[in-house]
Amino acid sequence: MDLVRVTPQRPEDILPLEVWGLILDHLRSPSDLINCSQTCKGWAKVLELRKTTFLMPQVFPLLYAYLGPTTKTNEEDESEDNHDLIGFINYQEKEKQNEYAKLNTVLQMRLVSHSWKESVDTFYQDHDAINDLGFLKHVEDDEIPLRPYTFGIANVTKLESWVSKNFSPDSNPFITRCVVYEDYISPLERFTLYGGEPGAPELEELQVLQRQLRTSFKTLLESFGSQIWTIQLFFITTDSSIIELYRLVRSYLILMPNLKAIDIFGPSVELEEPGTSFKEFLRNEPMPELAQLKILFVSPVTFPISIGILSQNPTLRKLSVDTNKQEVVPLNSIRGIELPELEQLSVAPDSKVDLSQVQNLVWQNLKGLRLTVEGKQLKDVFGAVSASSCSSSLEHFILEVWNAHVHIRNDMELEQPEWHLEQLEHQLELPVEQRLEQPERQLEQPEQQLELHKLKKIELVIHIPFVLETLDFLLGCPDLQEIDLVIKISRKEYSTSNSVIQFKDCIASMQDSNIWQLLPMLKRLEIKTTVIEGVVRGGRTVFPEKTYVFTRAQSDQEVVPLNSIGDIELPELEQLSVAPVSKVDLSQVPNLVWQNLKGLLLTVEGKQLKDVFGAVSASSFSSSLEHFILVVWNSDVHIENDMELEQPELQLEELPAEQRLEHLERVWQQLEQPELQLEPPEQQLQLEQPEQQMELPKLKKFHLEISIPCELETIDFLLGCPDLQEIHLDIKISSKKVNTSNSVIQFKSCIASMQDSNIWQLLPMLKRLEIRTTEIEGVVRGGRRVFPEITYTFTRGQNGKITSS
Amino acid sequence: MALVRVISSDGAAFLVSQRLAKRSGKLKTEIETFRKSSDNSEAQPEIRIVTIRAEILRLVLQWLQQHQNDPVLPANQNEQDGRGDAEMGQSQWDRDFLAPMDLGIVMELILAANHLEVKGLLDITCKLVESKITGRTVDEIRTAFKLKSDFKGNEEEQTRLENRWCVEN
Repeated sequence: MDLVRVTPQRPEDILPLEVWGLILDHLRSPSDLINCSQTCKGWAKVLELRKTTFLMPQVFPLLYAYLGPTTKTNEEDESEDNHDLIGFINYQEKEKQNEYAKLNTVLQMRLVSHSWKESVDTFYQDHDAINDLGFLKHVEDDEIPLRPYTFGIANVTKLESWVSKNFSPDSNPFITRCVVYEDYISPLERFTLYGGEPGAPELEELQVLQRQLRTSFKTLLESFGSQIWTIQLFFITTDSSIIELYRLVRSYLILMPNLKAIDIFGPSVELEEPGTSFKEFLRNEPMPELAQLKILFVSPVTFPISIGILSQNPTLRKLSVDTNKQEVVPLNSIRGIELPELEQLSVAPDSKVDLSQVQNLVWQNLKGLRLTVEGKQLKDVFGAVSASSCSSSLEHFILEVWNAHVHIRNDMELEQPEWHLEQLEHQLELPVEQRLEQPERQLEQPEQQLELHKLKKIELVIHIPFVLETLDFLLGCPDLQEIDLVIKISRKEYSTSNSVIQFKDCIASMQDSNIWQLLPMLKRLEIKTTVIEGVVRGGRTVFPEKTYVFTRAQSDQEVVPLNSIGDIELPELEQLSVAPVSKVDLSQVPNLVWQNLKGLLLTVEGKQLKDVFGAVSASSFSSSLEHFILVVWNSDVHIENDMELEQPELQLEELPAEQRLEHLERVWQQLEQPELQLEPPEQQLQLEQPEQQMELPKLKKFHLEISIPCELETIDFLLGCPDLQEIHLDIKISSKKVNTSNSVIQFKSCIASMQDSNIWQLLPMLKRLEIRTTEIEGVVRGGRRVFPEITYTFTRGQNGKITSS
Repeated sequence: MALVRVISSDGAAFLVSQRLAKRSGKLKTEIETFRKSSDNSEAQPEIRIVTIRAEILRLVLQWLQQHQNDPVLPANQNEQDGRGDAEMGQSQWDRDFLAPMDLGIVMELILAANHLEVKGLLDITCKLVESKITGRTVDEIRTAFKLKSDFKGNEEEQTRLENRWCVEN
């Protein structure tokens, strides 16, 4: 068979572009038109004029943010708005006003063309506010959920207006396809609205109005019910019997077969005879099966109507449940109804939760869980969620804690905890002397970790003042990418020596925390310390709200592929040098393929010395390495740059008398320079004790260069290198005397006299030790001071005698 | 200088520096993914953008080159109100860049900027389209976008009815 050579052709080589235009005119789907316009220049040219038509469905969602007036308020307004409920409602009102201001532009766009109208309507109908159970927005931002916009029909009290509009039967008058129905005419509503006012409508009048409302709404649904995708039904107390109400809702839902989401709020009532008769009733008059229904908000969950909907629609994906304060949300099973496809479960604030039920959750594929607990210990919540069947599937966990037994220190200015929050009101009535007599309470240490291996996002909101000492409970969530903490926290510093994650005392500087190493997938950490009311010396004090956001920057810098360079084996490689600006992944070091490496130059950044030592010691070349040069940048080698602050006079006295005056003049000149201001001593951190030794039995030469001011307390890590002949330390080191009684090698405090150190006995092959203490800037009474660079060299002579130079 | 080949939907290849390409969030991710999956650290990444044709891709790269020294805006910055960025960031060069463009091209640029995660370009293009809609009559909008009414039957009249009802309620 002859091979046919096929060369790509241009459309105009096949047909004239005009003919292509006629063919493409038949395409209606925007995605088809976009694909065609991106296929080749010829078709793009043909479709050029139609582009603004068929691109609008994709462009409109991006454009929407830019339409109409700005929705952004200034920061001050925002923070004020969040402080109280009224502020929050005002904020929502502003949002609403802005949405309506945008509406004029949007409505104008609907008149431009059919496809533009479709673009606008589709955007509103797919709005997150309809499809979200509060999982997309921050938990604090939607305590009062933004209702989906219901342009055209906010409620049906003006149905007369509707009837007069004479909409054609095939049109969709609901831009958002969302309708809010408030069946509010009730004796309670009458009392609330009119009180005992003379002239208030009589109950009978209201009942007539209610009947009219229901009839009108049914008329509306009979014509346009199939156009509605989201319904919000509100029934407050009613004089209708629960059976009557059930039948009413059923008659409504039957007329809305395309519903995707239902939000139903009703009175907390049960059928008088639950059990068999209830089941029989549901069987005889079942709620409709709604094929598209994926989202259900029910409040309360025991409301017979809710149970009726759930039992007929078990393929729900998202469920939000709410109860009144007394009722416990039945979490483990809702009347035995299985919801095998449930992905998100949200328990509304104010609902009670029985933690023992959490452990027995029947929904094994749950990816999102929003839980509100009251009066529980954090560790119990963590334990229950970790033990639940969804612990292996959960990706997003939102936890709100109310009135928990999280112990507080609400008198942080007194530096002594006084009392528990639960007793606050009682305590305030006591004289100050008695308050101080309250026993100190233990801080809660959540020993129970969250064991959620797939968890990607956690939002933790705690509504009472408390002290969160540690984030160690997150260590069991290795995939965690995002943490949002909303906490009320004191500013007092506590010892956190028992915590693994560095957290307390450094909330404002969490970029330096080891959390970024311990949770390697973490990309974002937000800590919002909300208003805290502390009792300070007998009075309340409100501290400001602050939000700290930390994100892990994606590094532009490449990581040197240490364990393999393109699978190339270099069996005879003896020396490997990694250039100083290159990044190194320490986890690769133990897998280095070059087993005969004798020389290694490594530059590491932001690593702990002990980790570097551990990685090198575990590598395949640890038994061959003879020369190791290590350069450390921005490592967690802790600093103390205020070392002279404590004893500056002492140093002055040590100067010869003739130099003292000169020295004083120099210091005085420094003080006069405006840029040399006193800087507060930096927070004193724990000294790093490199517990991990280097285990390099053949190492002969070691060079360590630490490029930041550091406090190297000990060089005990060299004890695992018995063959060491030469040590070169290039460090910025303070001269402050620090107790180093735990060190084996005598090093600190005797750098200048290392000839007397026991290092010469402990490392018998050592011939040369060089310590170069480079310039270090210390803060000395009002100004910075630069210390001189000094090099100390110690050598062991042939006769074994140690000399210094 | 490390380079990357970026190929449009219609097969045109652009050779750009990785530094420039990484100004686009999407290209940056693609380059990093390529690096992780490639055995050869010297290999040149090749990224095919199947949703953007050459003419538009060239415009995006041209804009990136002009703005290569600007601070990178986070993709989610001012999500609710992108207008601030646009007003602050639009230079004379941007105005000259957009001025000769047909609105159809600008809309393609919006989609390209969104796909490639180039926040600054998304801002100025959206702002331009918005300015051609807000405060204009329906006929003015149709003229600006070279559109003709394609409503059928009494659909336009029904739409006016719906609009009026929206505002009344």
